[in-house]
Amino acid sequence: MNFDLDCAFIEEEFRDAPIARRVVERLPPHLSVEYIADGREVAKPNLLQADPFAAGKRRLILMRRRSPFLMACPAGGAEFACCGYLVMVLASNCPMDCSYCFLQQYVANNPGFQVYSNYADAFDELQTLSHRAPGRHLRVGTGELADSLAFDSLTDLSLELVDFFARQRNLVLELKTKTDEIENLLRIDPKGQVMVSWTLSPPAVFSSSEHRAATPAQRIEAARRVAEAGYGVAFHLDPVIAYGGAERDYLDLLDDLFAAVAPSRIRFISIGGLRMSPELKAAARRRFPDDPMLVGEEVLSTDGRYRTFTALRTRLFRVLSERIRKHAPGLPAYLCMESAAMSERIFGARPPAPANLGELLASRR
Amino acid sequence: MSEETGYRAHVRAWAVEHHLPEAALNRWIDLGKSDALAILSVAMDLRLRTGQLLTAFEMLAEIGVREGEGAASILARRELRAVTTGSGSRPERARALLDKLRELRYPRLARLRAELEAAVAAMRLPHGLTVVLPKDLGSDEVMIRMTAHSAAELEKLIEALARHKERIKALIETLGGSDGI
Repeated sequence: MNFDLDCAFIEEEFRDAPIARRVVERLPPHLSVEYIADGREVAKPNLLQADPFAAGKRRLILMRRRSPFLMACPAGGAEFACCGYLVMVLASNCPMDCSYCFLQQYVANNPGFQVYSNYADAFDELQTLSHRAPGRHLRVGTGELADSLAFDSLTDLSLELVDFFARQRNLVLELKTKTDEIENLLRIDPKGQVMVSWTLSPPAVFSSSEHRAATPAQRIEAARRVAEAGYGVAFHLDPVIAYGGAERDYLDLLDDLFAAVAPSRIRFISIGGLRMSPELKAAARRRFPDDPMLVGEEVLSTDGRYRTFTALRTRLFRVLSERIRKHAPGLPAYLCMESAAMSERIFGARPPAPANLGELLASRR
Repeated sequence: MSEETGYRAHVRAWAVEHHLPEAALNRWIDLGKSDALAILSVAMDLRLRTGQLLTAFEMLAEIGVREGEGAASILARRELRAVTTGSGSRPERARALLDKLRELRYPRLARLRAELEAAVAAMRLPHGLTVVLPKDLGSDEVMIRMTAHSAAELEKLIEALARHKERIKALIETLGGSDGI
């Protein structure tokens, strides 16, 4: 993808690291690169800018991650039926700019586009995890605090990631993206241990809200290509936004998807409704005051987030799940950040415990 | 004083008098003359309180984004004109304005809520038995409240509840996204 960067910073200790060399070589020649002692200083918001969050996206920082790389999914919670997803934080923030993105709140105090250059430490954490959970299959993703592939043309990180996971038995990597940056993936064999997932939205949401992302058609085409290359693929209809005409558009999107990608290649589909904390809603409205997708019929829900009022949200979930079942009867589908009761209403059965669902999603071939 | 300065001065005067936050004032002025004056006119006619103005302002902005229309044009709609220039005391009309704006801002929710309220009313439940819909339909939880002062009254309410069981179940199904929505 085309980056819109103002500057790049590299921590001194990584000056000669292969990842730094690759990035410097591939950045536009006019872009200034500064070597610094501590990237945390430049990751902070520049409050002199009109939009410090957007400015952070334009400030690439190659730096050390000083916290563990592995963490529980930030979307998880006791009140939700979760999918047992583990997050591996290799980067923070994203060169795309979706109006509904939770990062606008989540990394507001730390918005620099950080790529953690000591990523090899993450492999040690993964090995430890793998040894501690023998016999269990775990799904580990890099696409929660950043898009998994948006910066791959700069870093080539996917090559090392796929190589590592291809040698694992019980760890499966999920690369989650809204791009079509798959060229590196097509060069290597994942040996069944890597899936690529796309967040999919109808064209109306894409054009209104998903700035700099690949079009829905490009994402589906990329999915078709990586599926043919031996990768598992998965899809996240998330956030489902209940604008006028949404039901028809989302069903068309599913029809387009299943026309392009054989159901047997798809590992799972997740569905999640638009949800925004009051702080996120305020930040998003401030940054995108003209986006109609941010002013749907969301009301304050019992969990303190704005969500589409229950009846409408439930109806959309049900209609979508029925269409998925029609195309692919055995395909696992689950709801993200919804209660077990909602899940039961949609799928007709109580959802499995997170560990069991995680096992199912990680081990499915 | 130029014409533009004139409308700004009027808006600012109202804002100062009502202790409107600076950020809200700036957004109001930024709407431009026609939209800003339309809001000012309603605020003065109905003697809106600061909180009411802020609520109305936010809903007008959001309706505007949803429907691609400015505040003046929205406020000129027949259903809103009927409220702002209709009969009733100023406080009543102010409340009615906010209710009508809420209907425009949340059209499907308002429609469903009206249907559910009509369905509850049609049950003609006895005094002491109440079906409470969730606030803003933000959940699928229906609360059934029974208030009895004697065993006989309790017996009567339980019988009434049993008689209406199917209709209450249908309400819950609708709240849970049945095809009715």
